[in-house]
Amino acid sequence: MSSLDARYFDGTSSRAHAVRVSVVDHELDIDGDGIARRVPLAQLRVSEPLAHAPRIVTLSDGSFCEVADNAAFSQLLANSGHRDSFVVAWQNQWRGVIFAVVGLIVFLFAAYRWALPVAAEAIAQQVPLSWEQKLGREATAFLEKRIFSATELSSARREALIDRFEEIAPRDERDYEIRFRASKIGPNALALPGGVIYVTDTLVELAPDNDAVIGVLAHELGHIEHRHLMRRLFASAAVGAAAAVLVGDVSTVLAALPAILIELDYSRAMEREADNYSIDLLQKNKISTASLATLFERMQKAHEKRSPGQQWPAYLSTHPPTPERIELFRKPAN
Amino acid sequence: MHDVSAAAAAAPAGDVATEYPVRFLGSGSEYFRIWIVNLLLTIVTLGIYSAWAKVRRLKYMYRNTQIAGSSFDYHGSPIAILKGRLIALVLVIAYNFSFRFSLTAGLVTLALLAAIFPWLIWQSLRFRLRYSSYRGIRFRFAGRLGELYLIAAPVLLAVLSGALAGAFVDEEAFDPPAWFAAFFGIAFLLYFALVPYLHYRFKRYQHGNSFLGSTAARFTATAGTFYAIYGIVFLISLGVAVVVGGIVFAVGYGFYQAGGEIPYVGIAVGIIVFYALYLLLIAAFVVLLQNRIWNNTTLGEVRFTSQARMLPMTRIYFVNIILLFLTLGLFTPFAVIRSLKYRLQVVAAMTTAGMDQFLSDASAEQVAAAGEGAADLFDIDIGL
Repeated sequence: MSSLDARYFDGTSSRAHAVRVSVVDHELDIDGDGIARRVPLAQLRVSEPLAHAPRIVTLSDGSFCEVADNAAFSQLLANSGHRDSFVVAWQNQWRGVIFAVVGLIVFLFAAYRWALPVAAEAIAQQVPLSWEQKLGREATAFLEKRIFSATELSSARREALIDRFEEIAPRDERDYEIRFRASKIGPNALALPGGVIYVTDTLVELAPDNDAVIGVLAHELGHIEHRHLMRRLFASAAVGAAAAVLVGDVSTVLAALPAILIELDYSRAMEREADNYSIDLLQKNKISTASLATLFERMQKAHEKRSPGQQWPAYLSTHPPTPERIELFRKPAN
Repeated sequence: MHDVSAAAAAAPAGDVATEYPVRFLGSGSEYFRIWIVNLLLTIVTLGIYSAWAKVRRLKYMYRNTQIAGSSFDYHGSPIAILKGRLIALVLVIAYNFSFRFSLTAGLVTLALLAAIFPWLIWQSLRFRLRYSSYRGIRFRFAGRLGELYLIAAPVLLAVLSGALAGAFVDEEAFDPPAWFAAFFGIAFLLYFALVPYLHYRFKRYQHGNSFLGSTAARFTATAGTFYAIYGIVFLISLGVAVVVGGIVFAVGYGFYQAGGEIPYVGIAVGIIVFYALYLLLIAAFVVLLQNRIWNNTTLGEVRFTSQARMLPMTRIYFVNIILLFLTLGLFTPFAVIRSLKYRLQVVAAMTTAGMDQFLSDASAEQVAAAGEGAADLFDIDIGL
């Protein structure tokens, strides 16, 4: 029986003993430098193999041997019936590793594409309305103080818009509140958790007719009905956590990057959902989406006049490209 | 049995210290295989496997680290780490949701977290050392909990008073008298002037209370050492601020001259330069800290030397970031090994008595793993 060089440590002193180890009759024989021990193989614990580090055989009393010749020792172990764990066998095969890489990519993609929206929606539905309203109250307080000022639209115009919208989206079925406000942010509209919808004066002035404003309101109501803000909150938490697990131990800044890109993708998907909600609601009430398309064209022109030639790449935008949306609103109109 | 004199006889004669450089045998391609399997199993088991993954990762790092031909080893149990992680998860959720629930609930949770935070760190320090060994001799941490609370007190006070001020002061209606603003301004500056001292106290607490078996470690650095480190890093960051300011100004001016075209190339170059300088800052801090700390730590009569340098460290960080970016994160295990290998292999142990001299301490104790897992999830692993 062949024997191997090893270093023996008794567990009470850091002194290294140069010994030879061999397997004789299902027992490990340790011999040399004043050490002579024989231990049944069943009482030994063998460390997992590493490519360059010595392998460690631990005895039940805490003493152990370091064996540097990994290849010969693996052979010795195999001959004596030792089997490495499933995970070790997996790690040591490139085929298994490629499977892990592919599996990871498929799993992450599937989780993002199918599991995340469902989970975010399920959680968002569970959140009590009072939470959402509380979040909304904080945001509206900030907006009212810093971003918006009192509207300059005539009360007749406002009432006409609100009355018309309540006809197609009855208040007793959904809870929402429409607020017209003047602001420096230009033509815009936004929905907050809890049901407040803001519309700026400039958007109403830019609209070719009331139907376009109704379309915008329907889009924002879509965000509220689908509870987009809560879903976004949970989705971004999940994506952030996953990114931190993947690359967070090297660079937290880098971990933020994919998280931001994925969030933007999610945001665009929700805008599309709100657009479709708006189209459905308008069509159900025999309102043409053509003037909504016209409003978007005007907004795009106004944007180009202000900053010509500037257009963010699609993957860096929170909203789908405007031409794509205009086309969407034109289609059902024909 | 084998006593110390026998061990000393094995070492070179005389008082000339022998140098035992730290060797790190790990390789990126090998660690990649461990990492990817760990990651897949962690994600598929919704994080439960992460405790086993952590043990496997630490064992890989420890066993590949050698001094005088023998490896370190890690003995932590996955179940204990899993328990710690569950506690940490509860704390994170409590912290994130309590403020949504109500202001009082949020502040009470924050105060509770602040109160147990030093305990968690203390637990994790003890756990980590208790389950680490070199040549079969376990490490041990003997720092007293009370001292850690004393060190943490200024930090906790700053966090809590900040939270209280944010919660109760209405910024619109708030019109503080001059003396009040001055008082808070001075308190603020004082706190920042205190940071290097607190860092020093923590390192002294950590290294000065560590044992390998029955051999005690000592930490001989002074507060001045830490003020010097922070001072140097501050001066470098001033230089970086000037350079970055110049670049931003030049790019902005070019943008203005070009008449509105977004200079994508300019922005990209600017971001890369900014990142390189940012990494230089981090490398400077890491390198200075590591060198000063290890050069001032002894274990019995064993001294340590650390000769890490800023530019090689910066280069490693920079290449890591670029390759991480290009491989969408798959370079992570290679990046970890590259920087760890550099940081470990610049360290050496110097001793006249050889590495056979350590004896175990019989009074071993069990340590709850709660602190270890929690510290990990809160991402405050202090390193080395």
